[in-house]
Amino acid sequence: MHALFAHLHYYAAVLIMLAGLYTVIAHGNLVRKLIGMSIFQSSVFILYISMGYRFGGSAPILQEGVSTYASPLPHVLILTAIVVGISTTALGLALLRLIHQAYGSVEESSIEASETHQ
Amino acid sequence: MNTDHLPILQVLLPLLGAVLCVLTRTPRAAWVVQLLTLLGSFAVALTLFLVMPPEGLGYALGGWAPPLGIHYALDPLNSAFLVLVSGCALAAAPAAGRLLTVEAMPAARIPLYYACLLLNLAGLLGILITGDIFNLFVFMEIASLSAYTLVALGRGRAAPLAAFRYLVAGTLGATFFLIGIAYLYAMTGTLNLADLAQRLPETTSRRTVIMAFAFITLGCATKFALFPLHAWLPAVYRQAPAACVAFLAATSSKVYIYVWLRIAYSVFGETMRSPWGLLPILGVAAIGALLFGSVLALRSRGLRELLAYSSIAQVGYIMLALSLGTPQGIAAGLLYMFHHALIKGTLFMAAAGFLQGAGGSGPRQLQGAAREMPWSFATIFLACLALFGFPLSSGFLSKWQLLRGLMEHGFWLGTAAAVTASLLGAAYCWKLLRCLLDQPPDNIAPRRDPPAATLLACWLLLLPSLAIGLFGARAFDWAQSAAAVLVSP
Repeated sequence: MHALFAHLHYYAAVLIMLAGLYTVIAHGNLVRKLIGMSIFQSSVFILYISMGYRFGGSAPILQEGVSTYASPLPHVLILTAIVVGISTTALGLALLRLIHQAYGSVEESSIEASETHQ
Repeated sequence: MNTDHLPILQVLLPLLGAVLCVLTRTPRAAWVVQLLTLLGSFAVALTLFLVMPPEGLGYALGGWAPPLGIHYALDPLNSAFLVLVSGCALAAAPAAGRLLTVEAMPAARIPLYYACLLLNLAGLLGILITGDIFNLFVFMEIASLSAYTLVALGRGRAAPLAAFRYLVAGTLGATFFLIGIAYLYAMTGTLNLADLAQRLPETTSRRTVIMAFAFITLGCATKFALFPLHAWLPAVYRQAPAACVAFLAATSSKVYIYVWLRIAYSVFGETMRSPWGLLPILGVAAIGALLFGSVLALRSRGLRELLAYSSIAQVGYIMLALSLGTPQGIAAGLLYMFHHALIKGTLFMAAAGFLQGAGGSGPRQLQGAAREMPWSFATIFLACLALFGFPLSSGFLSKWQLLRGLMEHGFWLGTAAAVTASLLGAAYCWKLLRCLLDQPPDNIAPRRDPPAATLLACWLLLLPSLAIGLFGARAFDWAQSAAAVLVSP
């Protein structure tokens, strides 16, 4: 029981991860695929951030009377990954606009239909 | 000459060049900036390769000593890859200006195109040179985001779609890689590759180590398009602008294979040879890639489609060699990576030449082009001989060493698959050459050889591969010494 609670954040991260991955694979709508991809990335952010947490730890700022701190390093790492994630999503949205201009749709089925029609 | 700061210059030069390209206003000025930058970064790579002592060279960023600071580490293996990648970029550069004009890229976009290309180069060089796994991830994303943008700049209607699918697949791959890093960091508390290699054997949880390796392998395999994770590749190689497809196809998959190779052998080492080991699975995937890629290449129409499927098959050869885990296998795989980078670069450049000289590289434009485009034909002819492994070519040498490695290891299924795929390779090369020598189709516009810059680019890539074939013994000596960095013989 204790193990379950101690690792609760990991289970949460895995659940979100699977939800994102499923959305990417199962949906034919390209916007949904992009959303699924973002969710998938966010789950890894949670994995990292929760990894740095210590029970009873305080924020990693030196202060009187505190001896346990959360580890700041995973947070700093994931800050970089969040920036990467934002750029990826922005680029994906820009590409979707171009796709919509070219095909008039962001549904995979109708894009494929118009490809074979040509 | 003071060479202390060359390792950081290797990455900084293309990054600064990219910024300068954005600031220039005319396509011509941007072209000059990119050419100078590429010359500079090739000179740096070559100097590093020549001055590097055999035990390697380190560079601590900002003076922070490893394992706390980010550390750049050079050894015989990655310094050779630095020369290859910056060399391929430089070889393709002279032809870029005219190719972009032929593709009707708007003048306002051309400086941005060059900036993306240099960012891509900076990312790839950074991946090769860094000794820190998180830094490696960041460079991977720099290279990937710029590559997606480059692909989307293709002139075809389907280019943004190819780029989008590449983006989704590539991001999933990079995120898997990031999960792998999380496991490694959680177990060891370090991100430095050399430090990780020391601390991993001391960890108690073998299952976590194996999961980390599985995630990292999955991430890298998506990036270098190992069968069955290759679905994004054919459209990307068909749709990318002709000016950069040779560079992308030649270098980016090789760099991601290098990432896997470096992490698998230097960091995980013995772990991955466990009974749980993933090497046999990779071997099976490689066999799938060999057969699938070769059959589809045989069935394909148009030059770039053929080259794309052939690339999937070639990744199969390389991974078949690397998954053996023996020094002979790794040396053969390394040699194959250089051979394939140079030959695929040449052939994609020749395909770009068809766009200039014949208006495209579809089956109709290819048919009977040999008479009107003799230089293009000669280039493709020599490159095809090397691609399927004619004796005295780099392809023969790499395939021969691969077969030796397979038989030494007693992997007969792999041997049979490699031989079958080589025969299929000879068949699709033959089909391509026959199509070029065929009667020209009726009422087709006159064709001519592409401008000298494009042919020069082809030959700059082709000549080193011919040299590898002719000086096979020395090339293989190098491959063995580079393989010794990863596994002790």
